[in-house]
Amino acid sequence: MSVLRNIQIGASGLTAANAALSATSHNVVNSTTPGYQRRSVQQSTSIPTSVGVGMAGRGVSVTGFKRMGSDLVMQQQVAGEGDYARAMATEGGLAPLEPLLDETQVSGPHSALTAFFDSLQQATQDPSDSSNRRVVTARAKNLGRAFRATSEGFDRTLQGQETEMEGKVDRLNAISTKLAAVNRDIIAQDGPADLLDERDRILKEAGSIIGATADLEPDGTANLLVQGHAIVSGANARTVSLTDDMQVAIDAGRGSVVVDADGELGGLVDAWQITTDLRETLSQTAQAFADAMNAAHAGGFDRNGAAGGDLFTYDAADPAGTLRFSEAIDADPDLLAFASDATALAGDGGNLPALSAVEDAGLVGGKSAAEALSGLTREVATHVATARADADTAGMVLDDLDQLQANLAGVDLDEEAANLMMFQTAYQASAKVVQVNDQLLNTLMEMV
Amino acid sequence: MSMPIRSGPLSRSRTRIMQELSNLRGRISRSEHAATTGLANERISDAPAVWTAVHRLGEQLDDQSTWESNAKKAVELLSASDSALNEGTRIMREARALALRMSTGTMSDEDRMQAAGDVRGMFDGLLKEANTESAGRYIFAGTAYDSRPFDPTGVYSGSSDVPGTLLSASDEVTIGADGSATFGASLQALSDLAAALDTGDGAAVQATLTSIDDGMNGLIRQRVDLGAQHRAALDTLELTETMRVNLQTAIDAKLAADPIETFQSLAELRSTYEATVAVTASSQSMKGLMDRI
Repeated sequence: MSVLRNIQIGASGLTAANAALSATSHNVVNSTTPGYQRRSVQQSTSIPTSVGVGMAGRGVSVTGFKRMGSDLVMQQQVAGEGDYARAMATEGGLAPLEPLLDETQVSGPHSALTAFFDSLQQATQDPSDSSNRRVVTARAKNLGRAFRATSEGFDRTLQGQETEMEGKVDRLNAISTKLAAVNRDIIAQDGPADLLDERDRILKEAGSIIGATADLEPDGTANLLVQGHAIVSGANARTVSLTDDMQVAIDAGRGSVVVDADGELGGLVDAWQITTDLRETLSQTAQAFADAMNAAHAGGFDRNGAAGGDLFTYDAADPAGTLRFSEAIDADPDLLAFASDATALAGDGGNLPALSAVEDAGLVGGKSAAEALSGLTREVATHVATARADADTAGMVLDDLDQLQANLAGVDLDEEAANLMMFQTAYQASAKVVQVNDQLLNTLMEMV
Repeated sequence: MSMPIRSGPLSRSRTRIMQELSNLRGRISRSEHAATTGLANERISDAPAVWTAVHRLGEQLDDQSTWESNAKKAVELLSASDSALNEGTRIMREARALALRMSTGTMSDEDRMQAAGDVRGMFDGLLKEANTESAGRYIFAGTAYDSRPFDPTGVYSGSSDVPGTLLSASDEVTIGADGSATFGASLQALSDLAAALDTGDGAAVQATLTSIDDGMNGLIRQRVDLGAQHRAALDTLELTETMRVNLQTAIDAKLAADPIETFQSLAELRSTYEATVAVTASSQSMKGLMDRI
């Protein structure tokens, strides 16, 4: 009977080597699959059996396939994806504002404002000169246009950010639903490794989108949490939405909970808030500038001796987007009130100092209009540069985590090649064991 | 427990490798931008700290054009006023010499009456200077410079306010004068002299010498005052030229790229990119595995 047992031992070796070859093949073909974690066969010595003179071995048993990698590192990766994605999204969200405010390349409100005040100062040469007045009206018109164009640029950027946020929310809801389904399948199929790979891939993507925390259960399922509020809990997913002021909210059954999102959504919310604030500053500047210019202009007299009318008009709901130079004055530059006296003598530029003084007046939080506009450029530049630096740092942390996980779970083709040869040899050896014992059995049979 | 080191790029995130290559491409693009445009920064966020200074310097640079234009206009007008005042002073000096001559007893009444005609000619000459026009404006009309300030009898209808233009944010230069204050006394003195000569009274003629002196001194004082304004305008012209060069240099220093550094960086980045691509492609290849199998 021992020869037959030996054949069974050889067969168990064939099974084990075959399983190992199968795992190695799976590793090789999935070496470029995103999120794939290396598999290895778990095997142990079969329980020995008594043969009278002692305990004899019964070969090898395959106890399962092990999915390599660390859940702890994976959870850190999910969090790291959130930090990295947030910084990248902030940078990307604000990027359209950079060319808009780069006045070395485009003519924006800051340079138009400077040119406008220069034209007023130049008008002191000859306040009655029609060409001087025409230059002032042309530059005032251009200033209104520059404010409106910049305002439109801000609006386009905000719309782009909102569209992107909506897309991210849709994607998050889709993958949350998918994760809930995967959780269901994991429970139903007792946690197969390929489903765990899919689970981890979804968790990382969710981490990237909203900076969620992954809470792994012993049964292999994963819960997805944002600031303690579950988006996915077991087989249930909750809907994420955006509020009117672009905050991220999670459906909590009876209403929704606003959360401070991280990840791409958090970065886009940051970019949206920064853009909204800067656009508000642009509007405040336009309004304060127009009001100050109109007040100064009202204090002077035009060439006809009449008090100055409004130089600039705007809609209070959107001053920067609607700022315009007076059409009446544009049509008749003699209506510019440069004189300080109703006699309006040709050389009376007595109101020009009052008009020019608006240039240095503290209009927005104690800053002049030019300083406020320059501040927009500086703010955007600083926020983008900070986000870029944060992305670099978060990227390095994520790189380290990726490397750590790769060391544990990545597929090394060199190693797999060696394993292929090793398991092939093991298979051949087991086959040889079967063959030798078969020959022995045949010899015995021939003796009978 | 020792940990196996899986150093092949396949063991790292493929996305991350692609991102690194993308970063390198971005840096190469920025270097190429610097090399072709001469600007160190492609985006405002490349150097956030410089923008306040660049805007401030840009504002000052633009201001220089305004101050230069204003100063040129001032120089033009003040040169014309200097010529007029110089000529006016010459006329008054001539009138004074004539008055001195005519006040002596050696001159006859006829001589004096003939001289009265000469003095009226001087009056007309001075009136012409007082109505001097330059660049379409009457210089000695105050701020009412679009109308002739003196009528043929010497009555002033201009303004007593003086026009000015800015040579800096806080410095103004006068570019005209109150004709009445400038020429009024002189014209009156010549008018009085002519009347005295008409009477043939030498003593009356002598009595006009004081008002002639006062009128002439008034012209000289005005010439000195406007001369100082003229000098200030000329100084501004020189200063704006220097300031423009200095400000442009300061802006360039903040924005311009160093060409040597730029091309060196570009060469290094290109080499790094090519090496990264080569290493990545080689290590991601499965050729080694296939050879072994």
